[in-house]
Amino acid sequence: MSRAPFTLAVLRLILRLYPARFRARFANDVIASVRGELERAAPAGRAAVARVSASALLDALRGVIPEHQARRAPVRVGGGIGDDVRYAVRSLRQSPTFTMVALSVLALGIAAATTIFSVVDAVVLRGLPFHEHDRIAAVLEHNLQRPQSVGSTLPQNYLDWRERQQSFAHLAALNRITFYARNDGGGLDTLRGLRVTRDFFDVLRVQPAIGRALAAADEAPGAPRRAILSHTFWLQRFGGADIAGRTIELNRERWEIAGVMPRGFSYPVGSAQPTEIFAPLQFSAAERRRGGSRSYQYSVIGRLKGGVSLAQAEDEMKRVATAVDAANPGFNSLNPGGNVRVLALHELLIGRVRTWMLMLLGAVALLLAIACANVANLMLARASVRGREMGLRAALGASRWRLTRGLLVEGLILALAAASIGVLLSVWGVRLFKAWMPDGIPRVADIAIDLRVLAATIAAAVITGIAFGIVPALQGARPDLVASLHAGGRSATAGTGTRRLRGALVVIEVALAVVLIVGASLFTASFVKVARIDPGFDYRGILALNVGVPIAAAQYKEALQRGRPYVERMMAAVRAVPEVGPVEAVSGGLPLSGNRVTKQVTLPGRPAPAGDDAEMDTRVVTPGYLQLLGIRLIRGRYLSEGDRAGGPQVVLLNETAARKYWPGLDPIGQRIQLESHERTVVGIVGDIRHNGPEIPPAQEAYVPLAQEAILYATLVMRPPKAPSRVLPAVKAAIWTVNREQVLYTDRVTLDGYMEGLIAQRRFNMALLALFGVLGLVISAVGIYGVMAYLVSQRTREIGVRMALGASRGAVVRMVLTNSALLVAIGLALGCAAAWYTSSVARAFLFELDARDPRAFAASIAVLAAAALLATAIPARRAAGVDPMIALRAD
Amino acid sequence: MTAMGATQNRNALLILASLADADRHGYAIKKDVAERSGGDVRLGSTTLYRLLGQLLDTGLIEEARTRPAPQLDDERRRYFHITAAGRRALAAELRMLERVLSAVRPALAQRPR
Repeated sequence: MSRAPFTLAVLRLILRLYPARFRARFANDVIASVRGELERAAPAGRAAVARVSASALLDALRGVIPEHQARRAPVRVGGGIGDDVRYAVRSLRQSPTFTMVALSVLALGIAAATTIFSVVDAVVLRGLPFHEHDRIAAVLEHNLQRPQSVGSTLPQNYLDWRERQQSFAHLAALNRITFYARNDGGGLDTLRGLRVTRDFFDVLRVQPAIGRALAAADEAPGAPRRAILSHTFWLQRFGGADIAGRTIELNRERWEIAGVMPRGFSYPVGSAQPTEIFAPLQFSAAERRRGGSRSYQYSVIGRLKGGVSLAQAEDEMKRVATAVDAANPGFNSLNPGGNVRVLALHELLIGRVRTWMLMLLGAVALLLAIACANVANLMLARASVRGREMGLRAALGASRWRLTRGLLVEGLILALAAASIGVLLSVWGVRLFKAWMPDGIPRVADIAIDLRVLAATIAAAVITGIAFGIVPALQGARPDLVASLHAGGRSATAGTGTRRLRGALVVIEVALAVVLIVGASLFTASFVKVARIDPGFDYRGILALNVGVPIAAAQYKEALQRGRPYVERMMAAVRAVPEVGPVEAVSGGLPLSGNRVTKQVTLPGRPAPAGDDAEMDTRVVTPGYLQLLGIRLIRGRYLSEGDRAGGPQVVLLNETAARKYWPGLDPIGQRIQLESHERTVVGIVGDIRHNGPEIPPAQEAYVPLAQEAILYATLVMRPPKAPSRVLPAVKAAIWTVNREQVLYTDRVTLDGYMEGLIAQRRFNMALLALFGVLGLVISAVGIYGVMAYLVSQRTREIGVRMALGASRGAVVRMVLTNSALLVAIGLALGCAAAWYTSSVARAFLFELDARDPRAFAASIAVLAAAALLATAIPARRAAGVDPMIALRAD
Repeated sequence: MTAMGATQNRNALLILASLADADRHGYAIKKDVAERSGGDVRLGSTTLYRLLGQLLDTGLIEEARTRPAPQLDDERRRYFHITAAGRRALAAELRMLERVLSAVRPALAQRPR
């Protein structure tokens, strides 16, 4: 008897699936009829009632589809993909909370992945935009003893190589140069120039779009000056006008404009500072002659002949370079022996950022995977709630494939919708990324959301859609009809299978989040370490501007004579600016700027120092410079106004130099010779990290400006107000002395230089921290979801336990234990994964082991805390279960 | 024609035949159909009303305007009545079935089991 109301309740539910017209006409009749059957069966016993119930329900179920088909109603279990799509869209709209959460999680993941992919694709993955670009290689000359040597070479070597080698069809030399062009205000602007041999255009297989390329005649010394403009510069300066007969003033000389490169051509490829002017490389007589000048400033690139591999070319170039070097013993003092390498141009350009970029791509892939696992989890939860619907659709004759397809379509729709939002977000993300990215990343100008990136995003969306659609699809498409009907109106496929699957997904989420957070901790710790390093001076609030006499090679000696008075006039003019504070000057290397000048060291009466000790960084400074920068005096005295040109020649050394050259002795009063000047040591000052916080100090000397000839100097001041407030007045003061003084204003403060030095660390930290936090939040949502689900599943069980005397504490403990188990497995797996993958980050860490236990401990703590928080709410809910209500609920 | 369609046709035929005798309500139709088929056909309640709906829609039956004597009646019940079109359809269907049977029987006879 007790079954009758239940059967009728289910019957009512089934009848709800019928077309409205049928329900209106016959629902009551059907129910009355079934009730009559049940009543008549009752005297025959429970089995008879059950049989009647089952057959009545099945009978009702069987009619649903045919009845709809008869009415041409929209809901069908058969039909094409179109129906699946309509059905999925409606079903998603019917559960807006699920859809919103899933969409946001996925859209964030896809936006992050698309942004990073667009960067990595443009910078690393894409080939160079030249015909058969993989046939272009660079020839680099190295000193095996100096691994930091940059691979540039001598003009004499290039000319001999070009003459003798057989591997390259064309071999070009190039070097960067700054041109000064007069602007409308009468001052000078700087232009980025590239001097190239005529082979350059053949190597790249690019010809000017307008005009002609360079010819052999253009390389002869004294040939008419011809320049080729970049397309962008042509548009900027000449508005795209006809170039025939036009000239441009560069370095006070008239140049004929010979051509314009094609639109989109930039060199270096995709650089944020591409070349604006290509000029013919005219080697001077001294540069052609062995025994002439030695200028290590030429890069060499070539196009390989057909059939010649990079390795073969390298073998041959090694032989050629060794022979050239042997024929001119001692000439190539910087890179003796003819050690050359041949490297694909693409590799040369991006080799140093590839690992870094791929690491970022890996990190974002983890984030996307977490997002996918989370959405799969959400879909599983939904599938559980929809178990009844699935059960019915299966009972109505929908095949397993139909149901699977429906869920897959739902997953795909979700993923594609998220991808659309994600791509929109990533357009903004790419803009943000380009603004935030540290300087010096190659091909940064090429970063954009283009068709290639879009295609990758859509592919990723489809794959993720299938990935998180398939799991619940396989689970949901196997509904247990009896179970789903018995469970009444509430959740149905409450099988342990689903619970286990959801648990597994949480474990995955936690594990992936651990990897991200370990990475974030490592990068953060590195950054903090670097930021905490005392550079030995106070760089904050220092304004620094470079001034110098214009040089032409012929007037070098004369210019050296004019340099000091010129800088002193500039200092006097700037000191007159109100609120500028003391103004000092340094020549030979502003700290943190990357510039340095070294001089040969000789100690009178001692053998010449060897190796690293043979040279010393030497700064030429005004007397107040050291105090202004806050460089400590250790012994002796600072420089003073009394150190004059005609007086005793003096020098200050830093602690490292003192230790190195006079270990255990008092260096004050000792004599030291820097190049041709012998000087007396009058003071020892503290070490500073001249080349940035990460590079340990080396030996360093400070000599008075009054006793040294210079061409240029950096004016250094510490204005009491913000440097930017006085900058315009300082510039104006400089220009009153010389209207043509070029001022580089992209970096004018030491803070700016410092920022540039730590930018990559800051960037890595920020990005990984962002990914880590997102991963953490998403995983926490996942944990919350599973625990809340668990509690709702077990409400009845919890009620029974409490009715039998379990305390609220015990119930909370039960939920916490459940959560802790999942989280613990996730943490263990995640730590293991991080242990093996963190070596990828090793190269980017500062004085930190990639397996630093503190990073692991921090990640575990953070995740455990988040997990606890995520479990607290469901646990509270479990503790609040009223046994009576829980037991009555059915 | 699918098996389900054939069954549906057969059931519809049985309902028409039942109503050809007298106006009946749902439960009565079910009982009558079971008796006529020797217990082989037991219509489910939902199936019954679906078929009744279809027969109503095609105009083969209608809801009865006259009701039995009050003491025999249950006022919640709806009575159904076969229309003239229903009788014609029933007759046509029976004639066709007989032709089908006469065509099918020899085939069965030639291949005894």
